[in-house]
Amino acid sequence: MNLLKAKRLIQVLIAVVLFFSWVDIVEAQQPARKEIDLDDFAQQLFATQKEDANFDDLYESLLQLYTHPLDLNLATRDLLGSLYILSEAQINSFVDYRKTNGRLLSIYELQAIPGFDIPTIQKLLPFVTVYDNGNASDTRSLWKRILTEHSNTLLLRYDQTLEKKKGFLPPDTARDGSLTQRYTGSAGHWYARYRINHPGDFSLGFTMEKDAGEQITWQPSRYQYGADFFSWHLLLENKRRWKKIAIGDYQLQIGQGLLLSAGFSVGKGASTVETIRRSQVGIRPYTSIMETGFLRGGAATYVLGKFEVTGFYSHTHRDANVNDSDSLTDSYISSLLLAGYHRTPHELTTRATVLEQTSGGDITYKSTTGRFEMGGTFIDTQYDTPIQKIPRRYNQFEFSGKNNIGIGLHYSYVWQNFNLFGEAARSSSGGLGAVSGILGSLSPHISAALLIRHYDRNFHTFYGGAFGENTRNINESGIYWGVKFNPTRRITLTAYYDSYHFSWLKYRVDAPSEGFDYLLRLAWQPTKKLLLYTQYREEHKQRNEPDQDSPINFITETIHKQYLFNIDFQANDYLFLRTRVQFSSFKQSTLTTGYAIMEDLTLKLRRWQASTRFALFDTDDYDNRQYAFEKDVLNSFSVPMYYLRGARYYLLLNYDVTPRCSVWFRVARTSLVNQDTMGSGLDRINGPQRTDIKVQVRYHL
Amino acid sequence: MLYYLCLKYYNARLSVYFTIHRIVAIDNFTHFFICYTQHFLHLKRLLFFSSLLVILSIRIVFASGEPNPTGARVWGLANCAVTFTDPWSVWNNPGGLAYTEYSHVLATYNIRYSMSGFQTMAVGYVHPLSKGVLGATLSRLGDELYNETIVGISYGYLWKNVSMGLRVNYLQAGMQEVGKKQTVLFEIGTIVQLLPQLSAGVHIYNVSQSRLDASTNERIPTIMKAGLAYKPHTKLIWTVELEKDIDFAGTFRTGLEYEIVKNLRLRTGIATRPQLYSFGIGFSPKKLQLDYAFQTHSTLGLSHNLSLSIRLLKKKTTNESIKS
Repeated sequence: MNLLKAKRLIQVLIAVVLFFSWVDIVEAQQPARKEIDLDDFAQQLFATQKEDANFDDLYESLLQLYTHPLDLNLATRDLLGSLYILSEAQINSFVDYRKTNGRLLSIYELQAIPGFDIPTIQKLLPFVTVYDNGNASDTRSLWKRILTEHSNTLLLRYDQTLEKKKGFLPPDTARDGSLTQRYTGSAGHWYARYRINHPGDFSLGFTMEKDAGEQITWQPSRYQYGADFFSWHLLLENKRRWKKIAIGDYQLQIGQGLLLSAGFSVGKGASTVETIRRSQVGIRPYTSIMETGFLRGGAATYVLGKFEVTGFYSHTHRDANVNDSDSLTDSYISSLLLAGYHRTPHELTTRATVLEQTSGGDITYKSTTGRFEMGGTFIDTQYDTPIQKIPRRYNQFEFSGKNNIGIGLHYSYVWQNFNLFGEAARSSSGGLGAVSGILGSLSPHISAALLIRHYDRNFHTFYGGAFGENTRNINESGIYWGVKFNPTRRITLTAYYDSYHFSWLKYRVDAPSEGFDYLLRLAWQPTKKLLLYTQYREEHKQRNEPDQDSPINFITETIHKQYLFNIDFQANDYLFLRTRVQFSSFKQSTLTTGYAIMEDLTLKLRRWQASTRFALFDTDDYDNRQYAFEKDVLNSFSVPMYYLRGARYYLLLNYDVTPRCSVWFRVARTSLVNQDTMGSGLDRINGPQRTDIKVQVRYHL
Repeated sequence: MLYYLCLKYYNARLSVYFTIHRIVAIDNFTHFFICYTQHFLHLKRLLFFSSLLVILSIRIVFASGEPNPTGARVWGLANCAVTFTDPWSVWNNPGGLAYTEYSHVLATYNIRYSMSGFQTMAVGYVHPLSKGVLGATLSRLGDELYNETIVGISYGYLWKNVSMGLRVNYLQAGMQEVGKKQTVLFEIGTIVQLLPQLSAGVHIYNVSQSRLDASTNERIPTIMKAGLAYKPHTKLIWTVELEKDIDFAGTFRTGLEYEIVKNLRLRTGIATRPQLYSFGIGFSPKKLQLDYAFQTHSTLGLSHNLSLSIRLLKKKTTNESIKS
């Protein structure tokens, strides 16, 4: 039944494509901006296999940068730094060049800047632009500018798992005679987005999503209007003294992200120096489909001489498990839910159950040279129902109550080729959080970074995401060293070492614990068409000893080692090959290993592009699961987990029907050996295979 | 009985310093034990005692006569020392001594884990001869309960782009109410200039495999170090080093020194097994050089080092002397 539905949907999509392609022939054609392989770029930045990394959010931010390129004539130090491509010396060199030579006339001028080599420029090009005459010259009304803007995109996507998951099967009868819960909606995953934007002027867009198993209904009382998730934004930039005005969904990136952090935060990764600093980007439109972590309302930044004043307000309903009031207690929230799934009747009861209001502001002073900035931030979050987690020893110092206020100070200072930066903040609980670092170019070939952080066990920040080992900035102290070394233009050696300790207990760690991890990566590009790299990462962390007999849990050290070998080869104009081998070992009481080997092939033929992978994997346990980036349809990012033993393969087809219209089709399949089922809970499939199909259409209107 | 022994040893503070900072990383069990105790007892003294207990329950280690990295510069770089050619190489690798062009007086003081029993004082004098460079040093470690005194003579010789050195130590270890033991041990080292920016160094400590007491088989560790230093320009040195003691797992060290403004150098370093992080600062106005460094140990806490070196007259007359 579902299969039939899926087929029909595909037919409809094809019809839509054909229609638009016909329209296209009638209209004049616009040259499209050259596309880059965002997956490859992302891989280079986030090459560690970090299980809790929020890849979707990172990728979305990267995409935003790509679709919203920086105007080099307007770009501040902060924005240049936020690309994570330029070293501190190169940023200095660029700013000096622009100061002495005036506006850049063309992107080709980058080659004239001292310290800019071809590889750097190539990396930079997709994310920057130079406007001939700036936005000020366009004196037409905003409405007209929007109507005539060429940079707009409509994207439709559908995907589905072909095998029936347990959640879509008829319910079982439980012991008490009731029926077990099942998903209420269809098995398809729908996604649509539209965005029209002109960098430095405006951005307007909406996003809709329905996850597999969710319903499409109209229930204004439950804040559902059609699809389960709906998001829109309007962002205006550089309107007189208003630097930015945002309405709808947005995020804020201020200081080092201790109180307000948005998207593009890489943290520990294969790029070990530039990525540890956060740049003050300010207001960003929210275009992702993560159903938490954004603000909904309005925000604006106003320029007052050397000061930038930002204010924001957000009013939105969040998912939460609410325990209703009884004779003894008032109602309270036992947990806030972040996954954003509303598939079963139970999940639906948690949907939008608590009202969250967040308001705050920031005042930042920026010196005329842009070398020094300092500011203060205030954020106040209020829930209409108090949060009271189910008491456990490890969550004793987590947030409880209705209201959390955060006050923070942040600074950044550029001295010679060094950037000193930091932020400190205090939450209502009295907990302190602080992060401070320095990065710079020690020589044209070596850059290095050092960062120290401390987050109290009772420091609470809901929108923060500063540098750290933990996913959230709480209960952690640590120190990080990073170095990047280019002995020649073709060889890059990067390394980091991070040491941390957690002064309070954590989930599955019943004692204060400590650990460290380090990474070494050597990349060699002997020719433009060949890239080889190898990477080693080792992590020592403490965790409860499994299967222990003692009455009190005790912790022991775990050692996780990850090896990676990769060859990228552009064999000719049409064919690209990638071979990758990953190996890991994990040791606590016993030693277990994991292994994955994969071969990718990408073929480009005029308007066709096809990508395929075949991978074999064999992992002893969950600690040795392997993550590997996969090519996906444009604007989608996949880093699936290779776990247990089996094979994984996919085929991705991309056809540019017209310059304005592209279609994608992807089919991916995992088949396990020695297993009868796949997945768990309601996602369980009765059988050792899982097949996913995906169809996407993109159209420039 | 063991308990009694422990108490006795604790009171005598029997070369604990030498064992503890290494034992901590020896195996998971010890490591776990220390953290576990730290959590539940919150008593530094008990932590100290319990780790000692574990040490003793595994094996009784006598590790007198360990090499003691000397000088705050080396400390600031997590004890990376094998490739350095400054006067402090008189202690750390005699292979680097031959590059010294002036006479120097050196003095240093350090204290480990803020414990008075674990402090070291050392003085040295380095003097260039017509052929090679000669140095003499005197170091004293510990207090009246347990102490070591070392008198050392170093000689370094430069032959084209290879420098070599030899050091002879006379070591005396003393323990209150127990007595004193003496021995002589040798060190050799070399530094090779591979490229204008790259040099390599090797150092072997106690190459003679001397023992403090042959009857109790009380060994002095034999340790070999090898390292590389990269100097892209005069302001920057990046060094990596491997160290292997016959009895323990290998240690990796790396250090970075950068002259951020003229005569002011910042340093940082990392070492594994045992884990150690260090930061240092060096100020060198005119004929003085003043260095400070601290090192952190995740369980035992902070250690500090302060050093001073004074440059005296120059023996060899070259064109450079006129410049400087």
